[in-house]
Amino acid sequence: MIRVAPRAVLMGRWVMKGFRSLGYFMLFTVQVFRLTVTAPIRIKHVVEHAYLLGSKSVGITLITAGFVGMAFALQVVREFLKFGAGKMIGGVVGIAIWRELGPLMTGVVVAGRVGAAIAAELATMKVTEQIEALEALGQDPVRYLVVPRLVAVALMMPLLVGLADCMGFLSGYVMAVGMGRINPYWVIESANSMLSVWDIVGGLIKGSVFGVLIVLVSSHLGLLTQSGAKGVGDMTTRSVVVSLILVFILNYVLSSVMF
Amino acid sequence: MIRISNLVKTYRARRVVDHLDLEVKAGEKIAIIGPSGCGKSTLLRLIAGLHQPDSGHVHVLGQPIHHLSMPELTSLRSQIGILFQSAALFDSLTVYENIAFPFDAMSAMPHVIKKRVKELLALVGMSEFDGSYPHELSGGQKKRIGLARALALQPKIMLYDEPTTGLDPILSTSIEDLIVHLNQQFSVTSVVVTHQVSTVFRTADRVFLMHEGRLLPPVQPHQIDDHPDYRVFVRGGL
Repeated sequence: MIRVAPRAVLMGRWVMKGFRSLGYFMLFTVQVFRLTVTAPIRIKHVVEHAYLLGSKSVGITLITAGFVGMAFALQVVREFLKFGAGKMIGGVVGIAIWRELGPLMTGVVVAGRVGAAIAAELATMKVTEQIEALEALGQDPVRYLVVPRLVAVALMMPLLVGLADCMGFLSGYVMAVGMGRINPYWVIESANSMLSVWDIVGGLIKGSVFGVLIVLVSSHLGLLTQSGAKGVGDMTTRSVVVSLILVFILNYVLSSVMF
Repeated sequence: MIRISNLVKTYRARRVVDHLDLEVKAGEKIAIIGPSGCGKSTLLRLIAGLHQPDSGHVHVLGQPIHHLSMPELTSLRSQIGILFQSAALFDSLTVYENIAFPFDAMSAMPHVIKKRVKELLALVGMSEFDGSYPHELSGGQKKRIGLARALALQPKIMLYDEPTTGLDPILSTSIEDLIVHLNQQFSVTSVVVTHQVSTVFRTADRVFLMHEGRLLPPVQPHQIDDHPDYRVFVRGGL
């Protein structure tokens, strides 16, 4: 008989649990995409969620993007001026904002605000029998609850990322012109020459992908909730943590492939 | 109407339904009693097709509910009404929208839906609450609205999960009155799951005691005290 160390057994179980969770998530993702493509989409629900999940995130997205843009420009302006490369600041800030910081910061904001809201709402519905009531009344919970949120966030994310990009660049511009005394013409001109259309479009696509991922993770975890108020809290926290980790990983992968 | 054979359901290595058999005829009113956590609500969910059994069969209105396609299941479910323990009203919808919700899956005309919702609100005595949200209602009022919603599509079978649990005696009586009234008026087949013996006396023709995942032979409500196992449960021994 083969003897296995208890630690190896525990690790094996942990790995198996991880693969099982991943498997369930993949099945859920396939189900959501299948329903999104095949089932009729309720425009009214999509518009409601676009307002609740998208429009109400504009303020926090702009504030976050504004300060991140300022902090980034602050460092870039200081260092670039030392090397006499002030004319490149606009382009460097632009590339950083449009390719990386805009989509990433928006992803973080949406994971924290929208992902948590979705996970908490669905988890509460699960523990208060509302999901079962939906099924009993002939509605598929995934089609009714998840698909409109997914479509709404996928549509709203490029808009949020676009706003964040503009706000971030504007903040960087203010820092470069105001603090670094760089000629405004050079800020715009270097951004114009260094940035391509793909940098902007790619960033918007990244934002949409992050939004879809956040909705999938938070919906999946919300619908998996088993026990009462503690379960709701645990799943909400877990959805934010998992979403954030996946957004950062996916950001690296997408940046490697796209730019 | 409902035929269950050899049904098994296990949760985390605990067998909550253990080779259970049950037959409910059309128009019959049965109650399933038993201590909390004995598997009564699970059985109700298995009957409604909300949970998948490990093995065994559940036939509702002649159809194997766990082996139906989604459209078939949706069609069958329109003939089954469920009153959940917590009423399970949708928080984000008003009372009116909650009761109108079952029509969402149908292609009913708006004026037909409006008329039906008004009838149902009147039936449960909640006409003036159509614009309220669930959080503005008391426990008893929520149950009434839950009942109205369950009745929206005129089901042939009503499943009640602890309909009077958590309510004071006056509210419990009013919910029991409603169940009795509905049974008489619409002669629906009803399955009441409860651990409150007082509810059983008013709402059931036959009573089953659920113990260790199985149903004991049924008795009539007035015979509960004559049967040793039922007597033990009523007196708090199980």
